[in-house]
Amino acid sequence: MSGFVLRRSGQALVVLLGVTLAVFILERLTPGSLAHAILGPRASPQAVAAFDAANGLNHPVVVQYLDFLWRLLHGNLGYSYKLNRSVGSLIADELPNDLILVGLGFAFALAIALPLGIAQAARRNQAFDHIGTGLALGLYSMPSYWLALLLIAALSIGTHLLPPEAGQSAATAGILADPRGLVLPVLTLTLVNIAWFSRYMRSATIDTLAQDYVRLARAKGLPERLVLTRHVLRNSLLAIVTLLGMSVPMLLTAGLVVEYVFNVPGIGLSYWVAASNADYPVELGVTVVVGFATVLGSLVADLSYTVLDPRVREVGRP
Amino acid sequence: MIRNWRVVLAAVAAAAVLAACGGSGSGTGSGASPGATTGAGVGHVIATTGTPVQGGTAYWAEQPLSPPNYIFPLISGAYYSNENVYEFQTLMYRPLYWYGDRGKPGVDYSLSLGDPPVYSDHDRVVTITLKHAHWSDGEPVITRDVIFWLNLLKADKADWASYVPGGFPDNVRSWTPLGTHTLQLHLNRSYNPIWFTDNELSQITPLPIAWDRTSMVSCTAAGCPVAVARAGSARPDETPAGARAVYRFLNDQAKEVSGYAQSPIWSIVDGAWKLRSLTSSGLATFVPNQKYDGPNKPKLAKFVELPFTSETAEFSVLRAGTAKGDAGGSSPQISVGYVPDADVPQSAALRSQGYRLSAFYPYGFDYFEPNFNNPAVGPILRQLYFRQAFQHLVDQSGWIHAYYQGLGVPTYSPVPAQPANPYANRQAHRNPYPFSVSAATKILNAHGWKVAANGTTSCTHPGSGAGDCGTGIAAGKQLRFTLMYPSGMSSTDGAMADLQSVAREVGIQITLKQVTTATIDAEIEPCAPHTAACSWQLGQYGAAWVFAPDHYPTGEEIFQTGALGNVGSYSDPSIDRLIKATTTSPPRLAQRALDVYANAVRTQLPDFWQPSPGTLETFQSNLAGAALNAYGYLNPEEWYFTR
Repeated sequence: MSGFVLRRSGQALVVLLGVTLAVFILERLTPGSLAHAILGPRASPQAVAAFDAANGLNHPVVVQYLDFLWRLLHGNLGYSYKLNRSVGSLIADELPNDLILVGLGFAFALAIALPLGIAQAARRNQAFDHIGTGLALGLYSMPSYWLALLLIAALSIGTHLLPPEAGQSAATAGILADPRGLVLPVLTLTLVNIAWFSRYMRSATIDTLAQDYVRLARAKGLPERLVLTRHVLRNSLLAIVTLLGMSVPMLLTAGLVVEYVFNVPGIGLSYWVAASNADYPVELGVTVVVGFATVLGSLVADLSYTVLDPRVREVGRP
Repeated sequence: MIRNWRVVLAAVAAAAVLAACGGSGSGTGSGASPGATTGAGVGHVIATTGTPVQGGTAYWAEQPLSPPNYIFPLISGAYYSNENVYEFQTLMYRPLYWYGDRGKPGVDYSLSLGDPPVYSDHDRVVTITLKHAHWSDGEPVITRDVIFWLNLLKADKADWASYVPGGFPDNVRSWTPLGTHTLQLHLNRSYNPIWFTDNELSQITPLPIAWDRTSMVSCTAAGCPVAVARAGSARPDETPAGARAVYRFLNDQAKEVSGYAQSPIWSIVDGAWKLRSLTSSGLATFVPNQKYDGPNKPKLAKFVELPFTSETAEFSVLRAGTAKGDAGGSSPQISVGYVPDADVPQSAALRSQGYRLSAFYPYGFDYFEPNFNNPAVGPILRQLYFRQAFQHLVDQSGWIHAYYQGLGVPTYSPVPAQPANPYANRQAHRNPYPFSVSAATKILNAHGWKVAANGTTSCTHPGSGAGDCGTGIAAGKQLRFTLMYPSGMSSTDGAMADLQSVAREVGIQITLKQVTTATIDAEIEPCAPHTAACSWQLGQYGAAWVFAPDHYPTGEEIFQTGALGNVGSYSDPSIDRLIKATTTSPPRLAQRALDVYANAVRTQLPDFWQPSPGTLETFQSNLAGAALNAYGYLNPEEWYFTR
């Protein structure tokens, strides 16, 4: 197991290096002067020269990249002139918001979608399945932006039941200061993700139900509830685990729409704005963090397979 | 165009950074601006509607993703933005001269730290007299505080956002203190006193001498004491090296955004407000400065600036919040906000909630840039007849109606007529090139072009004679342009698509290219022909030119040959002379010089004029005294709630 983890970690490092290099090169290929993008088009030549010197932009690109890597090794993700703060502090402030919002959204979505998917599969092609499929597809096809606005219109503007924005506290993870403010953004994320997870779960469960061991369990006279919970659920979760592994980077990026609509400072929005503003340090810093999350998610998914399906552990053994 | 003047200001001011200056001439006079509100010590008359209430909290909506994040008033270009200067710093640190009497342009001496400056020696010497104001640590605001600002500026002028070579402070030879409250500046030549006051002195912000340090030694939570200089020793700012060290120290301190409210440095203020807290997302809470000497003492107990991640989020809070201010409860509310472009049709719903709505226009003009040095189209753009024909294709009234939802004013002059101001002449109300496809067709036909409606017009009479296409334009040259503009603004999308469509009617093919604002800022710059940087042809910033902090509407920053703001490389010696006259004429001739300049530029078209955008602002029903400043300054000390 440890060899597996080490091997995967080594691969992850290479992937991360590749991602940073690709982003760094793409940023440098952007036309125009970075100094002018930051200082404005009417910055004096003296100000441009001073800016370039202060930020090492007068060095060759290779040196700039190596300098970035050196700082990264020391935990320094850079400094954003646009925001007048370090990228590290930006991520430290905003990442908890995303983890809370998207994490809760995923958790609620899973809590609803998994039983829903199993129940639909167990009642395949019956009225319950058709209704569940219709609802899921309806939510899936609805743009999350539109859904968020509908929820605000109904529950905030129309009835004043809930605030239209998340809490605006000063502290990190300050959105927890006003739990009522969390309801609408979490509800939005939950609803849009239910369809995603439930469709996968339904499909995986239908496949599992067709297996011989399920038929045998039923032939033995095992109650259907036990068939589903003991034999079907665990074997059907492999697909969901894959999905969750791939979703780990979404903890950082899936919140873009809810950040935008519900006034939550988050990583997704910061990255989007950085890309528009040529705020290279933020782009690079977030890319590194998202890349790390992607690799980590993939690793955790692989490890989860071995827990859920012992046969996976046997693959590759002599 | 983002029709939100605050975004407009931020975009242009940060980029353009207007300021600074240059020029020469001679003359005499006292320097009262034509738009000045005089009467030192007499405060604003605040409009009242109901019985005033002492206290309460007013909430002001920031522009999306624009949190204040730089506090040091001697600001560098990297941090210069509307949200940092006009909506944050000036609440705490008053500029020497205050500009704008609500929506009316001009200097307001009643709110200024200084009395009207007096010019002498043929306008080569200006005498500044300070009123008797105090810092919050009890120290008086004195001449030395102005000199402190000047010393830091001189030492680090290249880093200053508003620095232009030859402008301020290069045009100040020396200064002489004439007591604790009087200072004389000796200029390098005579200047138009109105221009020098409005565009140069307007940028001075006195700094407390307690900041004249390079460390936090002796500072406590209670403040930083003014170190008493030992006999014979100089304060740090008195030498260039020392001033640079002080600047670096203060600049470094300004990078600790989370510590602003607790900083013993930044807590020394002379403005109406003190910062109580500032979050990393931009939630700024101010409380009244009890030592404030100005004419309008704050009536509010708190003033809060609210950050937003989007216009959508801001509008949701407006709609879900209460339209009656300080009504208690924990629900979010906005006392002064704005209606996003897309939501202007919902303004009736806001009114029915109880909000008061008011359209607002900053003092400036809007335009898009031709690149006169572009190798492919520069020779065409340099022809005045072509610029006239092209301007005839800009349907300003139509754009305002169709794409700006009525929130715009047409631009006919570089000295704009809106909002009402003492600088614009009657010509500013008249369109020299009204929308007319037939007029454009006629002009092109008369100058050697074969107009192919819905095709591509080409030059059939090359040459430089009358009736020819013009110098540098070969036979068969076609009228094809690429127009770059910022993405994500529906009004600009519509306007540019309209221009493209109308131009096609006279055979001008325009390729529209949407890019980010950062790309616009990076790519639209003055360039030498045949260089890679000169590939852009027509550019639209998505933001207007606003006269702040250069408040006098002259053109040395945008139309003068070689000016940093002259990104299209326009050059006309006669226009340069007229600009010079506006900055150097004596007061009695100043308005005439400004009129002549404006009349020439409006017809010569160094840029193409387009409508200047406005915004629809919202006010809670019981908030009085809140009126927006023509340049963007915030005055919440004038606001109060009524019963």
